[in-house]
Amino acid sequence: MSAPLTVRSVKSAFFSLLKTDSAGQATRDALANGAQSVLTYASFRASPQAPGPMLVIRYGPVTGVRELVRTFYPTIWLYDDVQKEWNRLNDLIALIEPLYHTESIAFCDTRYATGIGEELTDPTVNRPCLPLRYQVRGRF
Amino acid sequence: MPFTVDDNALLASLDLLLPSIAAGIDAGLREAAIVAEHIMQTSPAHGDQSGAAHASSFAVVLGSGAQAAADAAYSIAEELLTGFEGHDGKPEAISVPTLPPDQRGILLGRPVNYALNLEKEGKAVVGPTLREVAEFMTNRAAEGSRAVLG
Repeated sequence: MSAPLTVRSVKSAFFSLLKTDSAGQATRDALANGAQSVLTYASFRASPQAPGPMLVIRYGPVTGVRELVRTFYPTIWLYDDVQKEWNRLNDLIALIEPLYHTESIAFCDTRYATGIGEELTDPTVNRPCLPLRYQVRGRF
Repeated sequence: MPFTVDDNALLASLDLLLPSIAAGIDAGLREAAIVAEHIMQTSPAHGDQSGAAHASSFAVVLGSGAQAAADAAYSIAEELLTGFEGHDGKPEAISVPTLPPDQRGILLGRPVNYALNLEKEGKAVVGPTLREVAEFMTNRAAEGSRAVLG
């Protein structure tokens, strides 16, 4: 019998798909420094000028109650170096999308929430970025 | 021979369902509002020198509690802008509109007097958030309604 899902384990599973899971290898190969270029938001704030392209996972809100179904809203922020603009980031989408599908996290339903966001420049670090917004639903 | 049905009982039952359907839609919209608020509060579209524009951004389903949410957001903006000298922005109260009972809506707000300038200066947050979540809001409202109907 598997361990019960928790908010923490679901967040970890979402992150691991990109950071360590074998399925994410092709994505990591396309990043500046492989797995080191997959960061939590806190790590990104600590070293915001790490070379791009890089992926920053920001854990969003968790809604609902465990007795019914909860929804977790994580966002994968794609960042690149300013001279690269959004070209490599848009190419990365095709590598990331196959990782996050309805079956990718056990006992949960994972899919786009609002999907691919607008191309932005983060003025605090002067870097091009764009978000991929997901939802993970399950009893956790 | 004509076939007739007395559908008064059926219509009366449907009438009883309407409040439940509305409650389901509201539940869906509340979840969509949480997502919209998160997007606004974490948008990197501008630097947010004081932190007020991000921290005071809110999204709320119109109805009871909406004005309280707007007032709470104003208090946050007021707190972060008091004594801040990086620019001369001020908090600006938002008056929440009232909708007829058969209408639904979500208010996206930033209770600072430079919110409009940010929207015009290529640092927009409210407009892009609305574009980003519009379909999601519709889906959530529909799912909430479906959940009630079973």
